[in-house]
Amino acid sequence: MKIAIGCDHIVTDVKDKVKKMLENDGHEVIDCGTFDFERTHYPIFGRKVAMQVNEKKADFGVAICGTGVGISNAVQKTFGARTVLVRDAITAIDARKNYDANVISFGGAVTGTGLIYEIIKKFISTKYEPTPAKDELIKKINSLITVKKFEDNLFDEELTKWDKGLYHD
Amino acid sequence: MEKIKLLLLGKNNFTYKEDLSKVIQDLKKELIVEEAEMSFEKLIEINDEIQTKKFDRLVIIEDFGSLPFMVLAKFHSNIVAQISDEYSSHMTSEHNGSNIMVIGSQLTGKDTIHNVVKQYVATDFAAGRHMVRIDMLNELV
Repeated sequence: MKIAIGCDHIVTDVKDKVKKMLENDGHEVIDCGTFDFERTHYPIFGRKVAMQVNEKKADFGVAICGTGVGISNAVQKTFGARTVLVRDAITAIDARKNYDANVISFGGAVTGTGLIYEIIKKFISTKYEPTPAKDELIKKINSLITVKKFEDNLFDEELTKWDKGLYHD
Repeated sequence: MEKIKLLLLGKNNFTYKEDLSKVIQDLKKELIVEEAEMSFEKLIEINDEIQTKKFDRLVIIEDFGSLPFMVLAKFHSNIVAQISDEYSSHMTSEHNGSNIMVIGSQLTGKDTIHNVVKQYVATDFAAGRHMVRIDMLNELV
């Protein structure tokens, strides 16, 4: 299976460990970054994961940031993505069966790598169980974002302002 | 005074009304409580309320929390925290500026729900460097 994975700088080590675990199982992992602990921004990586899935370059996506909130929102705001933020397998399985979720999100600071790995295994092995009502609901969810904003320069303005030091505490 | 809406979705979750209302009111917040059946259309109606600033932040208690997250997070300016622990609760207020929190009551114990709501409502957004991520999220939709 092809799995896209991405994270922010808070949990790069968690992402790297999960990536290895999935590779050991024979999955092809597309690493969307980030690759070190230098401060960066979760929307960049959540969006990259979701785009890989939407463009069928990956079967599923995995997104991780500190609590998972930021990156799960970045994923969900990307065209065609359906994710949930979980710490348990029940929610992940439910999201596959009922909403055909295509990305799973985690808080790497609140969920250990063992549990993340276990949940991913359950997530990717659970099949969507279609019914006309579920198909209709998924259509409605997808219809909430109609514009495919996949251009490379989407965050240029924010990154320029960041580099100029205009965002500071 | 900050206005918080507590939305209890599904009959099973109406039992949280008294306890969570007290948590929010004890923090000196203005409170609106609504009990409703869960549906896609109800979530769209709630989104209209939050987009038109009928209240400042929304706390949703629902069985798993997944559908409210999936629907509400699709909209511009909504940042939805689908969480179940106290750490995420205060961090998402402080760092993500989440305006919506959704808790899955089938997964989270009553006392934890109480604490998660308390920490979320008691914490304010720090803005500063975190604003760059919010601006980026708003570029997405």
